[in-house]
Amino acid sequence: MKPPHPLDVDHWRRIEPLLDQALDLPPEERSAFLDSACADDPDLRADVEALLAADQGAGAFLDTPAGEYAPDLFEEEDVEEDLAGRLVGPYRLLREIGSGGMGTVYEAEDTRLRRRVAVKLLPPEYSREAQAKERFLREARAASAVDHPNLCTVHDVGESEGRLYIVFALYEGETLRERIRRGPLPPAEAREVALQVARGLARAHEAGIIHRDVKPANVMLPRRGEAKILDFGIARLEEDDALTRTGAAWGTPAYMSPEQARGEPVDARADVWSLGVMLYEMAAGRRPSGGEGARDPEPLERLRPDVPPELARVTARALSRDPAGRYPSAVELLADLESGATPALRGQPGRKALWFLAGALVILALFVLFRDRFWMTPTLRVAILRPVVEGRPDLPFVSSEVMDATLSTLLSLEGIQPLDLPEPDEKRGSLAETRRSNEADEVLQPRLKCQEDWCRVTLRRLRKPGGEVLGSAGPFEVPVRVESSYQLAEGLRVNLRQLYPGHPPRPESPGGVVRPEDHSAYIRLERRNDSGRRLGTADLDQLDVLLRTSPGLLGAWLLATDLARIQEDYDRALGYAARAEELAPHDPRPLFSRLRAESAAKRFKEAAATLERLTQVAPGDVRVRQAEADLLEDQGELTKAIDLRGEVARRRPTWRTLLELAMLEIRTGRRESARRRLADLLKEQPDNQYVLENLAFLETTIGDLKRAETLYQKLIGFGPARSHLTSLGFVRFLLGDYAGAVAADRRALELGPEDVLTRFNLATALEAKGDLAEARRLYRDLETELAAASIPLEDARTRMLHAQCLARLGRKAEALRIADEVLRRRPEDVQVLNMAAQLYALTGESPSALYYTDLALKNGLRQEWFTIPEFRALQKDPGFRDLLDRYRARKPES
Amino acid sequence: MDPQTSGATSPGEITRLLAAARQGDGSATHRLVALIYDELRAMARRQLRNRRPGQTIDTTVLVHEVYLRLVIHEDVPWKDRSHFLSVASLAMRQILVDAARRRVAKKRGGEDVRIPLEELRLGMDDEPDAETRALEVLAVDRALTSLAALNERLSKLVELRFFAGLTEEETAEVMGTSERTVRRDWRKARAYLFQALGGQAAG
Repeated sequence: MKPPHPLDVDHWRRIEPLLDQALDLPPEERSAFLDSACADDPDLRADVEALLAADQGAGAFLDTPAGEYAPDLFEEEDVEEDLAGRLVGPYRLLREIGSGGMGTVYEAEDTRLRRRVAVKLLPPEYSREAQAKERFLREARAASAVDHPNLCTVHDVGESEGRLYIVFALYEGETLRERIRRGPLPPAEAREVALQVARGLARAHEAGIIHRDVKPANVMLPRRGEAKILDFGIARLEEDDALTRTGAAWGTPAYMSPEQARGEPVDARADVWSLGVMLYEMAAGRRPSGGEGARDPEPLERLRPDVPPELARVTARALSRDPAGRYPSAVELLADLESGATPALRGQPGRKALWFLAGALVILALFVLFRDRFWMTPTLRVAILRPVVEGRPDLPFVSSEVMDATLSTLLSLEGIQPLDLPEPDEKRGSLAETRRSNEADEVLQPRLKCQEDWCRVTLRRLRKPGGEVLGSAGPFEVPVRVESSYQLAEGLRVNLRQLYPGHPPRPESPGGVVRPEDHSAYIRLERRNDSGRRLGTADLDQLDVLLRTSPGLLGAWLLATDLARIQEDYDRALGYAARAEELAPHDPRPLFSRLRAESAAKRFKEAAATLERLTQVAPGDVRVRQAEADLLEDQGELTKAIDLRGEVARRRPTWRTLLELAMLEIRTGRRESARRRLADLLKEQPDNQYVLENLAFLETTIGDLKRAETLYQKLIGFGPARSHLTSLGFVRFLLGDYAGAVAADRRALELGPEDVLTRFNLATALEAKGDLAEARRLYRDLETELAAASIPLEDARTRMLHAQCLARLGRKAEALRIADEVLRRRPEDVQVLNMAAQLYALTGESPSALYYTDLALKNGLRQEWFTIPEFRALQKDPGFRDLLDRYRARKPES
Repeated sequence: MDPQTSGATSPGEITRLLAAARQGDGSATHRLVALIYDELRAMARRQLRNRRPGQTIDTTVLVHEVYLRLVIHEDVPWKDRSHFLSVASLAMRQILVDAARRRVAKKRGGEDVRIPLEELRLGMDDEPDAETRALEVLAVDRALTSLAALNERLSKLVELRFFAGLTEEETAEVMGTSERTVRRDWRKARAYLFQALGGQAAG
């Protein structure tokens, strides 16, 4: 029976009354009833019939209340105590890494050799039978003597405080059982794992050792290296125990051969059967049905037509119910499996077959020789879409974690170039998304259906957002708690690999170990970083610690690079970046981090080289263009940068790229263009403070002062900031509202009493208002302070401010000397130009005042800046009036 | 009284909450479930400590004991009994599901608990191991949530019968229907869940 398709409420409302009536009828009358009741709706009938069949077949399902059925659910506090920290023989137990019927496994340290091992403590009852114990020790020692890459290396067995333990190599990875839970293995992987397990088992059988409990949970798939069979000989102990106590069968029923289930003595063929069940499950995603019934399982090749034929053949023979029909041992099974896809060879191949084979081999050889050249499939550009999340509206971090993990996996697959991820606040269906999707060959849409902290994830390959489905993976369920972040990443990794079958994983780089708990710790830091909290040295140290145990955590290397950069420890940052590059040579992200660090360190030559490498790793990538623009800006090449910023903003029109473009336009004097851009942006982002700030500044300098005042008031409404209040005061001053200016400046000084500009502005506003005494006091204090401070030469504004204070205090000569120094450097800043004009107006140097007025007006400064009281002396000057009239005609639209 | 829970409720609080919940106050129901959740857990722990070997925990007994305790200590009016049982069954469901989740998470380090369909024996087969049973409880819980979207009454019925272990008679009392309706609804709900969990017809 196939799992039911999800029913919707309306459909269910039609089903339910029919079901009620049918249930009231004797079974033999139901068919006739349904004939008439759903005459015109075969789907409805099928659904009702399926439910009736389920009613019939449900047996004792749910008859026992949950609490009685699973009484151990109440026993959570009765589980075995944590033995971490204890010494077992020479092994110091560190932490529990798994437990099951056959005992508890700990990560441990061998105190003599100082190496990490896994120690399995068997339950105490296994030590009671002296004879059984002896046999266990003997067999485990025999198993440990067999050395093979596919057998888990047993280091030691022993007994401590009445408990048997077994010590084996510690592998980072997962068991085959865990792997299968995420879905069937792709054919090539299934064949590879089958070969590896068969090799290990064949070696054991050769040595006369029977495993007796071959099952996916006993096969380890280390993250690095080949599959390992675990727990040799332990089953024997359980067999003895179970037989002596109850006489019942032992082992894991689902994988148990029929003869084993009947309690008969077993030989290697029992292992062959179990291996068959496992291979079947691996390829099909479920175990063969049948069990005790005499029914043969559905042939594997029918369930999964893409399974390698030799795997299907071997599995079928291994699952022969009669032991005589099976391979005598894993040795013969392996030989058959290794004979590959040429069953003709095993019989007596005809001439034709041999010729065919020879031809095939030649082609294969050619293929291998020229693989690199034939394999030049065009790169698949994939745009990762923001996940669609249902069932739980507030998942602030999950979406970005899903996208990050997806990006990482896609980058690890051959022939895929994932494009830039959506910005954190990018909406679905936005222009940026459309443009990104248009640059891609296809898009990837993750969907999450969440319930509490579990999400059911589906991944879809689409031609474009909402378009034709090219393939899908899942659904699979993952926890979305931070402590399970590793499972989320793993689940995505496995399913993505299946979703892009034509893109095998790139060869793994060395040192890729990741421990789940380190992964969670890293994600926690990442979340804190994302939520705007600034990370510090302590966090960097924490990253160091977790990178020591999990050097494969690419994201952590990148975060460390950025943190070290922010702390201006550039060499350290570049060190982290180098490790990240080693780990992921095809990933542009380490290079981006490196570039940022190099730019911050002003190592522009190295940065240019990094940029060059980026162009190769991610050709045409919009982020590379952006990085190039950043670099040019950092080097002061503003006009070159502006074209790039324009391209970036066209390709990804988000508020950030548009704002960056506008700010660069402001810096290069294209204020009108910037102002229009920001005004447009403000329509979409009415509350965006960056946009407001920059637009307010533009309105103050070249635009509409009234509008500037409104914008600053709006910004202050979000929470008063000193700088916004100062700006508001200044705008009011320009508008002639001196009382309002004084009020704003005083509020600003409550937040930042030391601020020089605010104090100066307050003084000028007070002076304009007529409070001369207080103004003079302020000028004097400021002057004393500024004279004592050593103001850097390039800080033109503060120096001009000092000059103004001096001029207002009547110390003309000193004032002019400072102005001269500043202006000799030919500043472009319109505010400095305005201050120069003010200074010369105040000191009666009319020609100079006129010159700087002209220059500032030419640069687009509003003429209001020249109607302030400071220019009163010039008001009568016809040249000055002329100048202002000329620019007034060009008054910008508001 | 269990020192862990004695301070959690002030006298009469349960009564007030029950009254408010009956009038449709969602947050009252919420708080009520939380209170009863703690009571039930504390009671289960106590039972567990005193139990004889082989004796299992009876959820029905637990639910009724908590109720009696509250009646005695809190003066809950008898007419609120149905409502109490309804809320308690929800709390019991949460306890069992939480415990199952913890158990599975502990076993598998918080890993994905998707269950291969055929691994679910659903009480039909020989004795499944503790982990499988925990997984089944989780699966039933999840399927029940989807059933609730179709017919909330059926889902509530399963909560009362399967999670709280109420008898048909008590279930009918809580649901305000006849026992006959309970029996037929039970078959429908069970058929739905069995099918949703991919159960195969036995035989």
